[in-house]
Amino acid sequence: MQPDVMSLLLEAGMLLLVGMSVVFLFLTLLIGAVNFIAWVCAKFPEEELTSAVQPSRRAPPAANQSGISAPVVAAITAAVDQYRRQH
Amino acid sequence: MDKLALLWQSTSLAHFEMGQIIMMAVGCLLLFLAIVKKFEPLLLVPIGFGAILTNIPLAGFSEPGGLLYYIYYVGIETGVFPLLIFMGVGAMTDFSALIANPRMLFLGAAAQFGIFGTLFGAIALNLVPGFEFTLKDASAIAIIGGADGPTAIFLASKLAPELLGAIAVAAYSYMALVPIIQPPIMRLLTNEEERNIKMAQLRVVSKREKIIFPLAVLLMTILFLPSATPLVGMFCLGNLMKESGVVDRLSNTAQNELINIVTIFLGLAVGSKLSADKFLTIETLGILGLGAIAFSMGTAAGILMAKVLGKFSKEKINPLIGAAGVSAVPMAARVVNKVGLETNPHNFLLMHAMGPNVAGVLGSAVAAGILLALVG
Repeated sequence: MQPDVMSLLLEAGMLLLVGMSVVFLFLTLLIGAVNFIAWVCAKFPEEELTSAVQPSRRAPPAANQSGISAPVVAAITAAVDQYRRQH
Repeated sequence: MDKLALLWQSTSLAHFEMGQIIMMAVGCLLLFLAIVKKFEPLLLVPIGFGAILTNIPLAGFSEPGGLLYYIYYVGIETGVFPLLIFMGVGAMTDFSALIANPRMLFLGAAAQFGIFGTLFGAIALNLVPGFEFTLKDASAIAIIGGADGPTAIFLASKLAPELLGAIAVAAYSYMALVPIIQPPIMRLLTNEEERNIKMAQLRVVSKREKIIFPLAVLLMTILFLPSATPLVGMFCLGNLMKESGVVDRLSNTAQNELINIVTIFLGLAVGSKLSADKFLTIETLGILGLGAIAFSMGTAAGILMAKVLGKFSKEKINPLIGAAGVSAVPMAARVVNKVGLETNPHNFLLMHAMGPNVAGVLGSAVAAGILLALVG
């Protein structure tokens, strides 16, 4: 029984190393990809759409995933803005 | 007299076993936690009720021919339900905080240490007499550290179906307990000054970036980690439906009606796995213990990574947001925000914490893919 556990432990240790390295590697590559996308998007900016769509599209998703209603988000934003101006 | 005996035999009273009564009590406890304590009620109500139904003697809910048997067979054994939920979660997720500050992916990656560290711990538990976890069992248990219900159920159904009930209950219970588990660890690992750090406002992310992002994630998963494509693919589909803005009807269905319907059946099916012979074991205790350890390790690893990242970064990073790396969207981000506000009532970290939070979802899906590829 004991040697069995030792070999399993060894395997688990390997999984720990390999798993964490792959997760980091994958997400590091993703960081590169996101930066690349941002660079391309900045290089070829969208036409007039950008300014028209942005304000209306940003609020609802924020309300959706955090479960905080739009008016509350608006109030928080306003408060933060005011604070920033004061300091 | 004969008829009376026959009647008696057809009642549950004559057939109750101790285990069934205990499991019904567990089901009632889950209902209590959901209804009175408001712990993940959307899931614990169907799970708790499913646990009661499946333990009714003579009714045979979980035997071939029974309702719960088929729901489990159709939805969980095939892996369909968790994947549909993942699509809905994708349709609810806003990646803009992550796209604006992609380095937050490091925090989502670090928090996955909770998964792999627990995998090691689960195997080490084999040294204690009474525990016999195989590598597959240990992997399925460890994914609790990903703090992501559908991922945990998906992986458990593939690697260790007999432990699924305990794993799902542990995963959802600890997700509900995030506001209790995380803050002490966050306070322990950071000092007042670090908690006070204010972060620069995030840039505005263009619509086009948000549309390309899920496609880029999918492409990379296809290339490097095909075993994670069921999870990541459905997630990206949901997210693309939302961000593309051309299929609002589908996106709304995925994040409302569909996810609600699937949640009911998923909960019932998980509940049907809470039978006495599978749940009332020493392993369940081990799984519950390991789950708590997994959560704590993930939180700690995220915070420590945020500190390291802050050292090498031009912009300041509040280490608290690292705790949100353990997915559990959006609860973990809210907890970060709350702990931040305790130190400085003007420091709102919610949007900053959403970055590592959604990075954690991707991270745990990737970790699940790795475990499937290496252990499954």
